[in-house]
Amino acid sequence: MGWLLAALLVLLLWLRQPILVLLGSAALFVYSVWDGGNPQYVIYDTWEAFNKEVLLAVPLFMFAGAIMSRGTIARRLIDLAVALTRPMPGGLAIATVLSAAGFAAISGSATVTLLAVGAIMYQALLENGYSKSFAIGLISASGVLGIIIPPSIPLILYGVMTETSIADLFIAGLGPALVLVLILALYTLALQGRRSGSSWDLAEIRAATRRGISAIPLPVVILGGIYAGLFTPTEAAAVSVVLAAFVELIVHRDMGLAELKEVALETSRLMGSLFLVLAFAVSLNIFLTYEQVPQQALAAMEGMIDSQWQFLVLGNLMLLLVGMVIDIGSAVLILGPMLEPMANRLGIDSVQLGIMMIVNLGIGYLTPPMGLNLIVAMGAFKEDFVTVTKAVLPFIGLMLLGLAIIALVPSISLFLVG
Amino acid sequence: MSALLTLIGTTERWLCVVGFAVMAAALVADVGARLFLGHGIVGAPQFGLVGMLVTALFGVGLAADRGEHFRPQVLDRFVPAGLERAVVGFGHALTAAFFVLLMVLSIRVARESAQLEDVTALLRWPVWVLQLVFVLAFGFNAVRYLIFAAVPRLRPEGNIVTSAADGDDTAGASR
Repeated sequence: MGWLLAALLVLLLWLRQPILVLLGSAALFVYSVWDGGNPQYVIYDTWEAFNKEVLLAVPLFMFAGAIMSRGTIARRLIDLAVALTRPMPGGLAIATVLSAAGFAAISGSATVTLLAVGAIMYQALLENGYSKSFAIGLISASGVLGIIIPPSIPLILYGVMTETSIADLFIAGLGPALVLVLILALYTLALQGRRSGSSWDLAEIRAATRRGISAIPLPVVILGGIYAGLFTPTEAAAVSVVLAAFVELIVHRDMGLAELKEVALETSRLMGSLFLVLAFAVSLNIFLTYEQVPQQALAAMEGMIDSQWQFLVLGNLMLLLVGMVIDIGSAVLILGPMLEPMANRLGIDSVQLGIMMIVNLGIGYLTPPMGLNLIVAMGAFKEDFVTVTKAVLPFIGLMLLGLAIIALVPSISLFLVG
Repeated sequence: MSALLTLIGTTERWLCVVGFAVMAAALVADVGARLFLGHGIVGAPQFGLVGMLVTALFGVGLAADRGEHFRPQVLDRFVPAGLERAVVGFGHALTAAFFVLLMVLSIRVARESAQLEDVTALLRWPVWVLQLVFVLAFGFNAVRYLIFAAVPRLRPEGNIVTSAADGDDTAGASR
């Protein structure tokens, strides 16, 4: 029957069905064929999936990110980063990376980070003599930090599917994000080091800090609150909504109540395209676990993969290929619970696996044919696909280097955990 | 057809706004009470979950109207150019059939819950009432995709491919 399911999925793919239908059909099929012909279990599983309180963090973080992304927060963060990096060689490019990292801690989105930072920094980089290719590549790659630096929706999804602590995953994301920021900054220094900087302007730093200070509490509250044990991730998400609304509605006055409704609708659309996929993935996972499929797959692969090294190499290669054709959410939902038992058996921590998966699948944002950041960069910078793809090539290499370091040195992810 | 699609879309939008407001308000109030009063509000997370259920299920329609359901395109090139229109139309009809099936199953599940007089934890609400959200949301989408199949001009323009997990809907790529 397995071949029939595979054939059905290929046919549905050919008939241009969305992931939602593919996963739902797979769940309906397995419950109909293998479990006494009772496809109603899919609805029961979906009902159960919607009863997970931890999931409430996802729409709230999305909402907070969307509120903050609509305002002038990106401009304010960039001004601060530019003021602070002014004396450094290639300071403007480093400011691009730093402001992307700062914005990532608010938006939780790779493409929003790219758009928000790119809208301001692309022209500034070109005007300061940086090449078009370098500017596109740097901004596109920096955008990926959006899903690695907490709050990260893919990390929450991984936590839900593998029952790994989301608080631990958030905290574990900090070290790898720092590694990637350092790699991007060092590459910039190596390439643009001949550019001389100017001296610090204390008045500019003071003014930029005053304007940008309102953006700082959000990541501090989210991570500080979780790390100190004050909040669960869901509570931190609720607090971040209040803070985001307070900053944009009352402090900056960049947004009105009508716009808040629009943001809520935008978040509802995102929930609509994510949650049912998640519920079907949960249903499929419940069936597979009940039928002990992961254990059987584990036993079958034991002969092929019997060391951490082999798992890291083969697992990452597979994830890179998957990331090229499937969106990160679906990939995490499907592959997270399948890879986790094998990783654990080989002594790889679930938190470490989650971080490695997100960094790896994040590279998929830069790889053709489905790299979302490539597509967004085409629109944002008005360049063709080939130009954008060529521009990000060296940065894919840098991200791969970062992935290798993060995969081989678990303490980068785990040093703050627990 | 267009009026029906608009009616469904408007209904879903309002239900989403209400669901979202309930979800956000319940959780913010709960966390606020926990921080300032030292204890949470009984049942607030359950209210939040109901709001999330309503928003997520009716949000499926909002995403469909904008063509925002992620779709792998790896096999697109294997559709002969002459069959393109037929495949897209048949694909929408198939999606409609998928939602009809889900709707039928949801009705059965809701009926079973009603017979068993199941209630939710804490709030003690009848489960079947909440499960009607499934029936309604899947029904709306079945009608929507049937209309897409029958009237090509009403299909979502651009068919944006997005990664919901990324929390973004700005990436545009033709479907």
